[in-house]
Amino acid sequence: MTEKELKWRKSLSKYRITGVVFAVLGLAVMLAGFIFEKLSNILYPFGGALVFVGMVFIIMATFFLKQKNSYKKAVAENDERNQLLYAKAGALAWQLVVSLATVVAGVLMCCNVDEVPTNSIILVLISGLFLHRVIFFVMKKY
Amino acid sequence: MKNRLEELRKQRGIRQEELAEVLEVSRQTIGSLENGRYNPSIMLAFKIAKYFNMSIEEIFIYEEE
Repeated sequence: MTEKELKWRKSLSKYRITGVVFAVLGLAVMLAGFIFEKLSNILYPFGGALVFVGMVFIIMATFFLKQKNSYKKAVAENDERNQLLYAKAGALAWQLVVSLATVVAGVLMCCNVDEVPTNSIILVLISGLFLHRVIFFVMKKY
Repeated sequence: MKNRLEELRKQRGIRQEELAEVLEVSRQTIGSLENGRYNPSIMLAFKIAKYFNMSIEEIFIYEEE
């Protein structure tokens, strides 16, 4: 194991510990919400979010630590060409989303819809994320 | 920009995967560099030059468009 790989594994372990801290903190906040009922509306979601983020950290770090050749894969996945393509795909997806949002807004205006439905906003945003991934995948392949 | 990466790699009998591993990039990046579809960053160019024990100018040939 190279020095760089060791460093990377250590940073993953730190990542996992951070996850545990987040999860414990989240549980504490949720417990506080249980005790102080007046603040439960704020404390429950906040605590829940902390637990969720903590769990994601723990699961991801454990997954990478257990996988064989995960360091090599991570290095290859984050090399400079991939980073460049990722940024390019992001810029292109952003342009497409803005165009799509403009079209949606135009259609809504033509149909005399005064209030923008939440669904359309969410759909445009989701399509942006989806487009980003698709463009990145295509750019990587060709 | 042209480069002699493929020629040098083949001279030394190294596979793209092996070179990619040493340079800490993906195999696709090596392929793109060899095809001239991608120009490396200055850091990667230095890494490549160091690996082949040559100067950057000996590997990468600048051509005015």
